[in-house]
Amino acid sequence: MIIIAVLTGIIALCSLLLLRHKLHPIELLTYWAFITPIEQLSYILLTENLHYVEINQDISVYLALRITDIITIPIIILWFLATIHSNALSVTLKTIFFVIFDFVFTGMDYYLWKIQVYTFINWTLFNSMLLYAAMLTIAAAFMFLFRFFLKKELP
Amino acid sequence: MSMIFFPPIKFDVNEWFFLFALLTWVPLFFLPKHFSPVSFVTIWVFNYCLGQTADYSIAFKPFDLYDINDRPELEYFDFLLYFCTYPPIAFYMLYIYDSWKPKKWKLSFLILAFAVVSMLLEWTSVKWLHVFTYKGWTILYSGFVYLVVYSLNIAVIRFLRKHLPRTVR
Repeated sequence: MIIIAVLTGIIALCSLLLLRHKLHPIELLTYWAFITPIEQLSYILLTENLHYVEINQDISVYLALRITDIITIPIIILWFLATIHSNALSVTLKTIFFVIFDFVFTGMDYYLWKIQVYTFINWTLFNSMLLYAAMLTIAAAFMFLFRFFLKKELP
Repeated sequence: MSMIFFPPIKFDVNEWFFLFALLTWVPLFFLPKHFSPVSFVTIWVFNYCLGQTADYSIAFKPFDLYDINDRPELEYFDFLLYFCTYPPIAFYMLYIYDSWKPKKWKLSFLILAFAVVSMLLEWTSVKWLHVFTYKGWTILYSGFVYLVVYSLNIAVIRFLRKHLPRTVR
């Protein structure tokens, strides 16, 4: 599993070269720094505080999840932000992309549950869908607010 | 028992430390304005991310090298710790860096000095204020972490300088 996590992390990092053309470099850094703690916070709350999800405590699994939490998931969310800020897409298309990205993250949770990395105690995939929908919405809201200030400072 | 955020077991010295630590923001607002809103938000969010990532990586299972505040679970004050107490010292360091622009050994000295100050603050918070309870961690490890953190902060301010217009930093 760690090999998959490392490979997807490397692919995600390489995709930053393309993302640079869609989002300003400062946006890439700031949004990543904003999204990563939110993702980690949800992970900690679900596992340590609420005990809704149990995680396999194997070190290699833990490292794989850390790589996913810090690199892969935030960069996928950056791609989502690049998509919804695009002027070329209609609101309907942006909504469709929102749903697609939500399904992608829910699918990742499903895969982790299927390979028994996650054990759902009091949690369902529908809850995961809602959680990731909230995360994407918060990320989008932050993006619109940050871009407002960034546009004032850029020539 | 499960909760989204746990309250402190008792509102005692470590919670008062947090409230006192909020005062470290005050001098920042009396210093001449140095960071634009974008730079300020980026630095703040970056340090929040660093602090939380480091703590979540090693303070919870499977490593569980230390506890923060009263409980092993996440409390309200733990969450606020990342927002309000980690960033100010980075701002002061970056303020000094951006004002004096030290290079080579002076820059190394600046990073080392702030790492030592951070270690002293952490040692105080462990020894007397019970903000952290070490279960396998030592202050020396924190020293290395602070060196990395402040070096990354220097990289971030240089990154911001490169990508923001000269008149607005």
